[in-house]
Amino acid sequence: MAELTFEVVTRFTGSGREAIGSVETGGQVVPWSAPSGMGGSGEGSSPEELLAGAVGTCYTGTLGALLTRDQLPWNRLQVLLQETVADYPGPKARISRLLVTPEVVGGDFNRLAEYQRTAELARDHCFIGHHLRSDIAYEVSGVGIRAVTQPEGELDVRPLPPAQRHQLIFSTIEELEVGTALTLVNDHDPLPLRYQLEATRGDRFSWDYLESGPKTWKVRIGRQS
Amino acid sequence: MTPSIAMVRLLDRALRELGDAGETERACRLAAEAYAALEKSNPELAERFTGTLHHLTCVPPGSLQEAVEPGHAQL
Repeated sequence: MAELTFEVVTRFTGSGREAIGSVETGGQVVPWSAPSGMGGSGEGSSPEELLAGAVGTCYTGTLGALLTRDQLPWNRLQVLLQETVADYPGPKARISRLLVTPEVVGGDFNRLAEYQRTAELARDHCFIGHHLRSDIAYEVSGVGIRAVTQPEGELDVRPLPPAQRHQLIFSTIEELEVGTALTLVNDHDPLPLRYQLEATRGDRFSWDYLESGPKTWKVRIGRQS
Repeated sequence: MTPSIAMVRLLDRALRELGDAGETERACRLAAEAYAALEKSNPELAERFTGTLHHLTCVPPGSLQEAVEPGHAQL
């Protein structure tokens, strides 16, 4: 069995909690300091965030491998990792919880339960996670699934149950780059969505009917700002 | 502040009746504002106004329907 070695170089200049340092790894230099919430300068990353990054990257890679193994479709992954420090300040301050919230872009909405199972399995298989102290709760939140949207592509929500359409559309159009658009395809006039868009997002999105029934509605929704 | 379910139902009914009285545009704007107010804090209650909007935009005036239960609203 081989033994692998990994190296990083950390530097630190100044004194006190407001000092600033750097981490050199993989040819990259990442500035770091103590977080402002803990009396530091808050510049760059923090040891707390670097730990979250280590767990999050390992988790994300593991999840990708397991999704592929389980033949669950995915295009890319985005994982939010929230780290909780409890009993701060004081001698009992400790990292109490790591919560991962995975989002699968290009996933299959009809297989959500399978994605959830795999997301929890990824937590169990996460190599870095194995090295966390046992009193840190390492948990997986609900998996989100988002459609892949190409600029000027179509988002056909007709095959989806009505209760799933709304969330999918909002999350998908939020991903649009400014100046790009998608065509929403629906089996009825999506006028309610237009009212909701205007109420929640002002004039950030344009709305142009390309087809208006009687069986199919197509609306070009463009991101303006 | 989270509004009570009873108040949300009452607002839902009032908006449907406003639309039924011919003020569809005003009712839709208000329903969308109610949705926006609840979207982050209480998505399930917000969904009730998605149902309101569907009623207002899809159902001909004069045929007021029962409120759609939260979570079962259509797009």
